[in-house]
Amino acid sequence: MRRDSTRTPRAALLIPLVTALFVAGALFPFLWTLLSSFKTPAQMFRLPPGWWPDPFTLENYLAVFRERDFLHNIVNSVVVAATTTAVCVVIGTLAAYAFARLALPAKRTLLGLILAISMFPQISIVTPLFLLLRRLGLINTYPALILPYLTFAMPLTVWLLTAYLRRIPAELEEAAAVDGATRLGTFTRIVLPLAAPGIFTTAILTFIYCWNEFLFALVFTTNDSARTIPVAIVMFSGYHTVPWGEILAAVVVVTVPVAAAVLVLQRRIVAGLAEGALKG
Amino acid sequence: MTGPADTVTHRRTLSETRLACLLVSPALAVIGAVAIYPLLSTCWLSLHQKNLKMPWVAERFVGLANYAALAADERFWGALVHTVFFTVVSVGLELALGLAIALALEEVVGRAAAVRGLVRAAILVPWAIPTVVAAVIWLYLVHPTGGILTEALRNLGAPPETTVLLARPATAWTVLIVADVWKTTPFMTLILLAGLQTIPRDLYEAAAVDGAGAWQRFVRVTLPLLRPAILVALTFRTLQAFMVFGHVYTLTGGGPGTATETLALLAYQATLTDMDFGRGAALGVVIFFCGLGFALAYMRALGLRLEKPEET
Repeated sequence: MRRDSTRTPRAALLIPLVTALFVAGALFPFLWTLLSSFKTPAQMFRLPPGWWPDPFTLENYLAVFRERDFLHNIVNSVVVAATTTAVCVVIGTLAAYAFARLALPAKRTLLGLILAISMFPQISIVTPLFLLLRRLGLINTYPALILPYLTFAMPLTVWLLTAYLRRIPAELEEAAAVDGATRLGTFTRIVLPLAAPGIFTTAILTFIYCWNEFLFALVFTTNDSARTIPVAIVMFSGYHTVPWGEILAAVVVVTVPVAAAVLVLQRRIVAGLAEGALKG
Repeated sequence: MTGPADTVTHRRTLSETRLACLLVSPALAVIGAVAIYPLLSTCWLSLHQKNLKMPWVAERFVGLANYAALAADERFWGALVHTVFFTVVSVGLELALGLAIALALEEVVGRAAAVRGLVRAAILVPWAIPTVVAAVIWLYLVHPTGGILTEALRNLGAPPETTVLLARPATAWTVLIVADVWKTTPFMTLILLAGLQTIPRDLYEAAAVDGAGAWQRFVRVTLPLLRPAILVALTFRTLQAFMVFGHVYTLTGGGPGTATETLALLAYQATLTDMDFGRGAALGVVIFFCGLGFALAYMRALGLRLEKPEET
């Protein structure tokens, strides 16, 4: 932290101001959505819309789960994100160990290629994936999402895990080898426990990316019960009516747990993002 | 190729390379199947005419005809201009804002846990929610009748025609950009803040002792050392902004008319609505190569820092 002697009085005023504006600006839309979700549609579109819900109603939330298959959508999102994450973490850890520790031909090129692939424009591969999934009859199934999600999740996982595994000092494994441990033994008893925080963070980040994905989910699912959360929310609107009450309630239902989870895991997430960005 | 950090006591034998290949092959197989193969397939498809809405026209090889059609299509050039405009303005704003906020937060981060918690929340929650959910929130904020921002504008005396923000291109673009900046500045801030925290304090003190003012310290010490972080953040965000889809789809659908149509949206329209797969594939290839161009340019600037110095 800078010593006070280098900070001007102007800065001393600006800094809390900028911070306050930032926090307020970032969080206000959420608060407004939260408040509005408890209002009746009549109040929502009254001019001027009051701040506080009056009357306070839970009707929107009931409607979301009663009249729509939203619970199903939530389940879909969870299943797809969890499965993709699990597959990627398992396969990715193996590959990352090889990249981090073993002699592999053309390592740098491969890693660069993998990084490049994780940044593929999804729109560029939508067409063949769509045609293939349609031919296999997989549209509206879980594999229809899990398989395409591997496109960006797999490279991302390998990249992040390689960065983490690299940070574990090789001397620890060497010491174990001197003591006669096998490679598998050192992997399970020394590397894995040390890599656990990194693996956990990678899993969180991968899960979030899958959870938020829109384009593939939009294209590869066509009916309500197969949809994931982002697509479902956007599709709430019908031809003539936009059910804002339900939409906002659904947004809150999705955002609150995510916000809670993110706040609980914040240190991991921040470290993971910074790590992957700066030291990868 | 391998250095001292690599295994010393496990003998570096052929079996190690074989083990490495074995461990890497599932990941590479997956990546090859779901990423590389479809990309090649798209390239191949873009050289064909395949329009499911005209089933009487057989699918056939047409060489670069789809690309020629794009080059002659005003709507394509419009989308390209829109996309570049959106990318440059959004990412530029995010960088400037993100840097300003990161500089302020650097002081704050050491303070009380409550403040730190709020700041982290402000950074992480917009990042963690789906882009389209954020877009839906903004759709509500600018709603013609119920939107709080619309209401605020009206109270500030804006003429009624201008308050239906999404109905006019200029204001629609403003909403698109503001909403995007809101969603992604926190991510920029995070990366830049992490970068700022790696700059040793002594450098600032030394510069202050040498008589450098705050601005000079910023330009001479902060910016150069922050360069890697800035480039990483720019790379990710530029690519993301260039390929923007869900954000625009939800907020404006490309409207009014095609005033806010981006390349990805055009490609989506071609593939899913018009079912002109050849054209959609061609657009996909164009987008891919543009993205690749950006990525390569940034990576060269970054110096391709893939490995630590002691390894090869």
